[in-house]
Amino acid sequence: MLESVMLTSAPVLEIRDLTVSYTIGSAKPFNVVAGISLTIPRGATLGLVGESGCGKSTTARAVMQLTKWSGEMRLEDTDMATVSASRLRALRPRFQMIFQDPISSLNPRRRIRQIMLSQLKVSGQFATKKEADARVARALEQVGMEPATTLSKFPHEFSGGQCQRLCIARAILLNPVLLVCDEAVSALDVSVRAQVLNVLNGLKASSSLSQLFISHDLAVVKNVSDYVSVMYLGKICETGPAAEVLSQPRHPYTRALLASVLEPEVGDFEPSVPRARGDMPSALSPPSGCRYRTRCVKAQPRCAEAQPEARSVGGEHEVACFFPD
Amino acid sequence: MTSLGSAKDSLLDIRDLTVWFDTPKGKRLALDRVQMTVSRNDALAIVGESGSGKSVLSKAIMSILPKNAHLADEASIEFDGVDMVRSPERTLRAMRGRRIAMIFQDPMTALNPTRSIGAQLCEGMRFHFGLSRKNARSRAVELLRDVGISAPEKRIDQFPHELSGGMRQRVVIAMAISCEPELLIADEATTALDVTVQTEILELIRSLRRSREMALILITHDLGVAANYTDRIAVMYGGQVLETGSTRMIFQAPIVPYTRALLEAVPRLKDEAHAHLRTIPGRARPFATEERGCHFTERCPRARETCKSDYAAATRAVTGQEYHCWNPSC
Repeated sequence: MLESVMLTSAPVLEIRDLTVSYTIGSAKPFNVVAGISLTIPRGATLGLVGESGCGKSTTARAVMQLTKWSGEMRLEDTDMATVSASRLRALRPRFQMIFQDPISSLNPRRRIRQIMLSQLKVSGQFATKKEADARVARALEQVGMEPATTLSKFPHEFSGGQCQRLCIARAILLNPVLLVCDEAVSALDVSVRAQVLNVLNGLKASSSLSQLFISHDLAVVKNVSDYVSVMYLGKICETGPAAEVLSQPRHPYTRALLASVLEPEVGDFEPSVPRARGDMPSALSPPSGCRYRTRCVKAQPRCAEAQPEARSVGGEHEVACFFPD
Repeated sequence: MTSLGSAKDSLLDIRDLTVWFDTPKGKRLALDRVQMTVSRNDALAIVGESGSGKSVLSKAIMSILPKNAHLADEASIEFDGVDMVRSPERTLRAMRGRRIAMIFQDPMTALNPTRSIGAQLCEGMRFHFGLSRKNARSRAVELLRDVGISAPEKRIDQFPHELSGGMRQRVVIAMAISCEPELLIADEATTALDVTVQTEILELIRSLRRSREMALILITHDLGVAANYTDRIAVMYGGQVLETGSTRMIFQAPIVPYTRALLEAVPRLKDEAHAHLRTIPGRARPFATEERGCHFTERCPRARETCKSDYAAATRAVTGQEYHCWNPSC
């Protein structure tokens, strides 16, 4: 079903050569995101994985138009590089975001009803009270919360997992086409994390909501994603269908990441698989050529000379490496 | 209370450990009748979600609980015959860092940013062993080499901010093992690290534990860490230890409904994409106001009337786990 949807409609988000630069003090600017390309087909979830400091969250902020960026970005039919401020404002309900800490994302002094209704009011979608109430109730039901017992409560009366579901309800209230989830389940305990993952998977099945799901946890990404992109120091190393990338990784970094996953099983971990050496270098002075070469077990002189471009290794599976496995 | 777990060669013996906190809202129960034994060379994981009492337990072992914490009269914590509850501060100080060492989640806050790592490394050895400045320094260089830091002679004069997160945690580990402790407590020691660095640190802890014959208590919320780096697991919920057993059996044949539910709620790499995960209804309510039955009762699918009022006595399963449950899953 997914295949047919993808063939018939344009991607929800298409990014080409996205670059985000920051300046620290008087030093020359450096690229936190150094020319990445991503495509999210309609109704699909793209998992963006990588270690801290690799530029995952900056990418999310660029997609949300919360930071300056250069390159090409299309959200549905709109060219985001040239969009006017007023048009952007009108478009904002189309792309929504949820964050890592759900409790600080909800105003502690407002009841859930106010939190939800203000979302409709701010975006100019509050028509009648009756209609607004119905929309709120529907959104809450979609995330598995009982409207009758939820609306008059305050955020502190809910668990972290419930608060995150409320954040999702607030985001989908505006019928977005794209939901950006930045480490949305990382702060949650195991027992409530499952609730949020089930809700995200349910939304994918019931509506054609596309998601950019950012996480450092590969098992979580596997659970929600159709596609996976692996990011390292501002560059994409490997991208493709989730099942393929995670079961047959071709980039040494993806392999190292997967080799570091500790599955909750006895006797599964195999410490002899080659892993990354040392720590990630600073984005202020990235290595020449391939950015991963300083930690790569397969690095050759060529890796220092030129930057490997993403090449297809079969279908949609692309790898940026001179010596893929 | 029965003491099924106590072995003759036990290093740490915790009996009936109940801890109350005085709060502006009244007394709150942080630990409830905890029984635990750690023998020499043991690697025990304490697993639980936030608010389960893992960290309070580790602080109680070190006798570094905040002032508003009160232990029940019958509570006892014995480390190799030393009473960690009632001994004078002087005795406890000679234990901390010397025979029991601890590493924490955030290496940056565990290190003093204004002092060189060498100065911080030498402190424990000078205090406990009375080493001279020179001897302590040469031992510190050795320790840094042992924990896998390259060019230790140069690193020793650096400051914490000059090191990466993984390096800092290595320094903290070097400090912890500097006085050759018999027990190392690692409280979420790898939680803040990236996955590739996390496995390196866990491998380091494992090899040091083996070469130095230390016992290890690994406090973690990550079931993957517990599965791969420990021999035994204690599962905590709401201040109670619900189940203790070999790592293999906890994963293969969990007995208490909470353990089972927890294992089924974790996404795994080998699962199908978009697999539906089991959820646990309700929410954890840390810090009960009174000692009652099992704290998991209100979320438990197998709860009975007795569960609310009475805490089940420790029972030994055929698979070896010691558990507290009136209506176990198998």
